[in-house]
Amino acid sequence: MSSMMEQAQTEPSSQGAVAQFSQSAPVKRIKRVGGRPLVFEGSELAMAMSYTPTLPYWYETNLYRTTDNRFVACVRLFYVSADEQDTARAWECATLEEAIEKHENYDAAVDVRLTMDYASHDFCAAEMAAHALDIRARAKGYREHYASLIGEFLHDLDAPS
Amino acid sequence: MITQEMRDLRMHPAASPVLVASPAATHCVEVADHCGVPHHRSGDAVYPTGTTDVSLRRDGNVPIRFTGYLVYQENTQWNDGTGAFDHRIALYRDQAGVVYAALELIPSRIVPLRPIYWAQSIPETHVLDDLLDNWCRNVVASGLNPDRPASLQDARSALHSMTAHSLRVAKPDTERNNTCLQ
Repeated sequence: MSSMMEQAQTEPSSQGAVAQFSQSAPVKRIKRVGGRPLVFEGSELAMAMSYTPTLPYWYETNLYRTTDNRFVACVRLFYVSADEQDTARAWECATLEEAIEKHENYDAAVDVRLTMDYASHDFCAAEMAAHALDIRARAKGYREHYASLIGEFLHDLDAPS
Repeated sequence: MITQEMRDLRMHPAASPVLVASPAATHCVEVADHCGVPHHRSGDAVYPTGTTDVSLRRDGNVPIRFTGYLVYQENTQWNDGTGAFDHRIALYRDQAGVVYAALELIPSRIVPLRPIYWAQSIPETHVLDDLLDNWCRNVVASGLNPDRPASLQDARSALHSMTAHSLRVAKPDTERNNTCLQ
């Protein structure tokens, strides 16, 4: 597990520091893969986690509401192994439905890591086919794992409190 | 964790939880005693007292929600040598008469697998057969230890025996009234 565990850092609001009695929400900073961090002021609306003791990785999904009434959807992938790099993807959305759709439509196959440099190897057709099958199986595993979590998340959203 | 603020935002009317059978049951078959919807002479349907708001969890999608009642459910427990699995199949009917199937495979904590939930509407009886067939091939086959083919066979045969029962229960009213609860 890497330092990505701290990707949703809560920073003290500068406004809050100035105005001692103001009710400003904490500033959150989500470190994103391939992009600038998403920084916003708001609060967490919902969270679900797929941690399973016997699996090497798990997902966490979050929904935030910003103080300017926008929504942030976030999907994080954590690894048990310290050698792996955790990742986070986050999107700012105008509506709650749009944020929920981001969670629904997330394709977890993008999280499959290619551990081999295919350009530097000469593969025969059978080896290539075996690698393709392996990648497909891993993509299926990630997708099913994430689908299980998001199904639980969406179901819990509508469950009575 | 779902905050109250989130629930308020969704503005969804209060719904009853999914009907869940006792997890302790190792093998349990229930056919509700209201398989056929009774009607007044006026023609208005009278729904069973078990009618409630149902939310069927399904992987990767929003749950299916409707007001209806449980028609049939069967719980089984398998152990393939690596761990135990609770398996549940259930059929529901909504107030319009649409049948829904819900399938669940819940592995014990030592099994390296997430729980699996499928649910869909069953407009025709053959759809249920197809659903169970896909379930057998894609979920049961991948969920159970492939080194233990005997348990897989047990699981498949158990599911197919359920199919026969499920199809009988899910037949249209006119047919079901003659066959259900025999």
